[in-house]
Amino acid sequence: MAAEHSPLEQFAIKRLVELDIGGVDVSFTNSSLMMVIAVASITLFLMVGARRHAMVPGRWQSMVELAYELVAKSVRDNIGIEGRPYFAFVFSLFMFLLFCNVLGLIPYSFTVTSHIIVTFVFAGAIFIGVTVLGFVRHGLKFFGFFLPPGVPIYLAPLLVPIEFISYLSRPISLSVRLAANMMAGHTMLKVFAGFVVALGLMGVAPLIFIVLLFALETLIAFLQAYVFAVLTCLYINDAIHLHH
Amino acid sequence: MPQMEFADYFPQIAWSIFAFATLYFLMARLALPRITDILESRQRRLDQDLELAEKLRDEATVALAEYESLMAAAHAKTEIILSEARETLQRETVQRLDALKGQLENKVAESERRIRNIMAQAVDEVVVAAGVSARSGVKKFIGLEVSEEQARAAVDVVRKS
Repeated sequence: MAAEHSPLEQFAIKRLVELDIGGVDVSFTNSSLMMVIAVASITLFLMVGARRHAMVPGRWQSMVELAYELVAKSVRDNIGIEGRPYFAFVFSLFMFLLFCNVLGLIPYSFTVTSHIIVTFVFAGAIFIGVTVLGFVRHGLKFFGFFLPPGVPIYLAPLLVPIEFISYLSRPISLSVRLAANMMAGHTMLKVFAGFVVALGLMGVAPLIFIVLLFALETLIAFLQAYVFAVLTCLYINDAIHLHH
Repeated sequence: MPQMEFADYFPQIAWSIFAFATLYFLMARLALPRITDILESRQRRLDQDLELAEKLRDEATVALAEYESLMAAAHAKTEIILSEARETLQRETVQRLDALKGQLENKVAESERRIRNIMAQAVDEVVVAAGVSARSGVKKFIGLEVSEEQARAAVDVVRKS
């Protein structure tokens, strides 16, 4: 298989405009382009959907309200009333990941979230932000988070390292879950697309499979964005309320 | 594997942060306040409508209670009027019946008296006739003249025996 036909070729970063600020490479790449398109699409989607104050919403406005209510409900259910200040963040996060995932499904486009570094930027930022939030709200008591309540003290030497490692692994699991899902799905689509071409007339079978797989990937694109947002809510909740 | 090209990390990190910061700003300043406003104004409107509906329902309940009490009063009044009318009617009927009865009794008594008179008169006449026939009979049989009083006394004796 030639390099340009590798299923991984679709993930290649291509520099569209070479940029350099203070010795740091900030080139405008195909990834950056998709991010800008995602941001523009989200803004357009919301602003057009919410341009009229319809008492009974139309289809578009319903979609906008649905997205809003979905995130609002996640924030409310997972964090409660104290989650209000974080709503805008969680909403932006959900919409950004959702649009990046879904736009990436368009053939010949690029999936921003299939790159572990991008998802790690978000997961890492959330991890640091949540940790800082925990210390700001609880001070040194935040260390008590690593010892679940009701646990006998002699189990502490065992449980505290476990809890600590599990806490540290949060940004990794969060970022890897999303990136791996996106990457695996797109690779699989590409591989089966290759089969369609290679098998000629018999390629109808993998073509049907691709159609079904595409539906599944659409679901995953939505689901992974939602999972990311909900886990973010849970982490924020942990930082605010410690134990429950 | 393109995901492991470390040289590509910096532009991606930079653009992720830039794109997300822009999006966050747009959401927090522009889109979300607008959607919140839409949803809140709708909620307000719904609340208002619900409030109005509740008020109207309360008013309807009050009106119904009023209507029912009015109806009950009217029913009671009707009952009173009816019973009064019934009583009046009964009283009048009784009075008229009594009057009629008195009249009838009077008439009956009058008739009885007249019958008695007629009968007495008839008896008297029979007695006179008997006296006359007795006198003429006596005169014919024994040629004796009997006075009217004697004949009458004789008839009385016969009549009473």
